[in-house]
Amino acid sequence: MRDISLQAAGLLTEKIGGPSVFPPLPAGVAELSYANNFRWTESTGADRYRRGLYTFFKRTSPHPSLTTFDCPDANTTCIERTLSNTPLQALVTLNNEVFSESARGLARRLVALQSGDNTRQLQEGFRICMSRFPSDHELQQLVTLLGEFDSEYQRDAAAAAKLAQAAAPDDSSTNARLAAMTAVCRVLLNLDEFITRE
Amino acid sequence: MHLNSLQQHTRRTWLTSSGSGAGAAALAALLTDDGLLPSARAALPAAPGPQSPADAAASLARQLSHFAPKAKSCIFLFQAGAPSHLDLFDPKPRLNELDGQPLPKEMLEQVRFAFIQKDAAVLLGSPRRWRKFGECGMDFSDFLPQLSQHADDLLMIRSMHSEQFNHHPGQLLLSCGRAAFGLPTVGSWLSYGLGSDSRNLPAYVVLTSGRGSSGGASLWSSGFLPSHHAGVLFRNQGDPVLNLSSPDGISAIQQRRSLDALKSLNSARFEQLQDPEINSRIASYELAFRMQSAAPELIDLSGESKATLDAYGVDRPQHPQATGRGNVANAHLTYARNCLLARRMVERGVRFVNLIYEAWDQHSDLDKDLLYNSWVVDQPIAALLGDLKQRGLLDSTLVIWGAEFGRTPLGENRKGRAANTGRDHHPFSFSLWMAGGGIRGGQVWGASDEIGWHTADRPVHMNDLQATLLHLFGLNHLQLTHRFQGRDFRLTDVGGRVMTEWLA
Repeated sequence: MRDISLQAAGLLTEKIGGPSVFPPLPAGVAELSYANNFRWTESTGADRYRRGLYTFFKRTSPHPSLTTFDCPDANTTCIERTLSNTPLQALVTLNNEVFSESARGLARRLVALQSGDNTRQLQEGFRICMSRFPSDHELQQLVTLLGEFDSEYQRDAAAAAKLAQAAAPDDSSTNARLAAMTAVCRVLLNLDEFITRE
Repeated sequence: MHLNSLQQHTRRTWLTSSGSGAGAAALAALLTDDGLLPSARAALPAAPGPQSPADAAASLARQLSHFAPKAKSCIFLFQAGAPSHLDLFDPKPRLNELDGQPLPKEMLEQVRFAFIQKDAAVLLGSPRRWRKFGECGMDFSDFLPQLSQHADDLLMIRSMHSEQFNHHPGQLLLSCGRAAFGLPTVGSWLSYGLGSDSRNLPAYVVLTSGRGSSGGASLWSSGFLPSHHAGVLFRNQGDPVLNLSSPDGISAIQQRRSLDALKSLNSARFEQLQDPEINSRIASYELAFRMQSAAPELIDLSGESKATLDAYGVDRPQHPQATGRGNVANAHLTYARNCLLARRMVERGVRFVNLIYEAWDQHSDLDKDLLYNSWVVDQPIAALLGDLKQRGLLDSTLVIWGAEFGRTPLGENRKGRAANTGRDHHPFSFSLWMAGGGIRGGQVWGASDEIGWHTADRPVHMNDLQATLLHLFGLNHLQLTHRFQGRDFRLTDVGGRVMTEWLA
């Protein structure tokens, strides 16, 4: 799920093979390992965005995003993957840093499109995520949502700057636009249709 | 339009229409757990066989207890590292007489230790002063002055034994029923068997004080059970639950609006596909949203009276001789706070609270380190027992205090350290106590031999403890099973006896 979000955002590193990597880990997790003697040194650059299967696996304190999504225990054979659908998973895809980065990355992709037209950008965003174009009804909802976020972020430059983390912080109008699009992309990346593999 | 709907005939359409009912079951489980749909159980299709992937359905079908439960919640005060029972609960006058003498060689022949050089080891008496407490006359050393006041509520087991002499395997045996990775822990089995009584909080919560634990997350893993049965770690800093806060720049109103949009778009998708898994996802997101406000409310102690806060010692000053491995990250404050949080969780329907304090591995400096650790836990635990009792919660809340093993009657003589200032790991006989939740208090069960080496009377294995725990929750440990790798697994592996003599 993390991988497809990063893919949609254009952030995923597609390199194959090599040693395990150390994507960001919340504070206090590595400390739970045996006698608190394990250090998680965060990877930088492209290694932050490798596919999830390259994530280093510490048996006494696995990456919480792996365990939350039913990563099987590699110490025993797994003949059947469990399917689950839990509130903690929702908290990860809504609020976790890497998913916020993905929403922001996808928003940047869309805002950078040649056409400045909201509708076209949202159509394209929907197509990137779902491999189909939105229905009229779906598109209408997204347009309305974007409008609501946009007017709020136009009024609240501080919130816009936090969400957009834009390269040009002086330009509050650009920030607001990017923040609003990020908020909508966050919805797209949490839709059942996006999360569920057909 | 026709073509479009044909394209929608996908894996999930088949699942929905094939009558497996997995999605419906999952949704019903979620709604029932949440208390939204009390009659969901009745609306459910017959549960498929144990090999079905539709675990949720099987789980739901099991949500009826096997018989009337006494306990609704359990607070497990996990004293990881293994406290010296010989200096707290199990006085041994004969050991004191033999202080400084070696054990006969034949007693050591089949024995392994973590650190003791057994050829040169000698017995170590306890300098503690002992008294009997309560009408039952239960022994406590001078290190636990407040807990000892609750003697008549406790079942003191002095004949526990284990076959694991190192921390992590021992902790796994205690938590999972067998010393192996990949198995569900006690709290996960309870969540699997009984579901959740809480509308906004997880069924199984983990709190830690001090330095984490030897076993890490494997001590609250759901093993081969689905991840929603795993313990949820509440943190002492930052968000109480990982990823609880919305990203910076998203307000509560904006979060609500995002969820409304998700709900609306997902619902439209459901109208088209009729896959109940979609509704299950909507419910998950709503529960996540409620948890965003319920978890901060839970850890906010501003509604507690000053008397309560003081009783637990939430703001107490540090001990003048704070020392050793138990004195990490203000453990004296987090332990007090965690005991109070445990009561608040039980009040809010959390099924299992695992409160871990890994502090008791006294290979050296036993006397001063044990004094400090005992001070850290004594007041908050006594306050917790008193508070639960006063609120009428002790009868339905099982409190367990224990660890993966005890400590040796031999002094530790590890190379390179001053000899005999500590004790090594001792799995052959140790003590553990329980209270509330259907346990008859004021009992001392079993005994160790005169020097505390082996169990001498009515021994209790970890699996017996686990069988009895499930029994108190109305579950038969032989029947609470999950099929994995081609066979049924249970918490008690191939052992376990329900200790009916312990019951109130």
